[in-house]
Amino acid sequence: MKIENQLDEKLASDSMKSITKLVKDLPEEIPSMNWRSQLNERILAEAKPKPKLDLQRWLLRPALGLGLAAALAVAFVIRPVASDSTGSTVESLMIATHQDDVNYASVTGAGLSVSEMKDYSSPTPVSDPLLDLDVF
Amino acid sequence: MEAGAEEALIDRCRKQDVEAFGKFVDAYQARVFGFVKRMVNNADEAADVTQEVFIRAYQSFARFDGRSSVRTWLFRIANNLCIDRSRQLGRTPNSVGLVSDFEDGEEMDFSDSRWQPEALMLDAELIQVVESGIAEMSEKLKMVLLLHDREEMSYEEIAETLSIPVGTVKSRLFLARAHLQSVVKRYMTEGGND
Repeated sequence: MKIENQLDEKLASDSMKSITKLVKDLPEEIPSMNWRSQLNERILAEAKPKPKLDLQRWLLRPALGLGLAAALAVAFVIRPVASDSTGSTVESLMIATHQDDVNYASVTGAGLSVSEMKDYSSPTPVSDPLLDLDVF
Repeated sequence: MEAGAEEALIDRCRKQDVEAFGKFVDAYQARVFGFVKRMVNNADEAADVTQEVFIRAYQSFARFDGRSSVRTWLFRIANNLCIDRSRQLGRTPNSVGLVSDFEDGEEMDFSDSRWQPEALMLDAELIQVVESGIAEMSEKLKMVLLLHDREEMSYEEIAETLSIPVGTVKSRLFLARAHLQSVVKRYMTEGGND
């Protein structure tokens, strides 16, 4: 404590104060305009909002690529193969069935389609004995 | 700058307001540049380091909690960057270190009749002498001298900035001033008054 008090006294002496004044009065140097302009540019660069979705984009980019490739594959590869495999016979059968349905509907109205019709001219035996009226 | 105005400016700086930060730079650029220049002893290097000080301040302003003054906080950044730069360049300590010439039992005599501090006027030559005297010091002495005598920081503020005890601040300040005093004295007695 005594040493610190002595130090305080010495630091407060006139000779030390004169040194303080010398240091205080040293001329101040202002950085150049060019320096300031560079600093402003750096601050503006720092202030620009940084893209937050960078990571997401990195993850989504391959997924988007794969999706596009899949769509192209469906458009150019899978569809022609499908049409080749069905052949014209199936297509013409489908058209004929559709035309039959339309014709039938125009005569009979809405109801069962041709393909859904059953031949009821010869009734099938009832399998449930409880419902068979011949038993009585 | 008034306390209220500075508070408002600091609040805007915390929100990364570029315009407010520009005003903050205006207020402190000369002082920080002066401090850094004397610490690194090179104007170009000082310009780079000072820019870095303000960039770091801008980046971390949101984390400035106001427990210390903004000046203390800013000079802590400056001081740390100067030390980092010095370490990167692998500089050797300057000739005037913590062990002073006066610590070998010799009593300093400030009552020399030729030493007339009140008559000291800062002419260009004396400025050069004082600047050289500061440049010769070790970083530890220099930073305490500059923060206290130039930036008018209190012992406590310097202790907080440099993370050292107040007693250490005082002893370093004493050694720094004593060195400068001997340099100026030499100039006055040998060459300055020819």
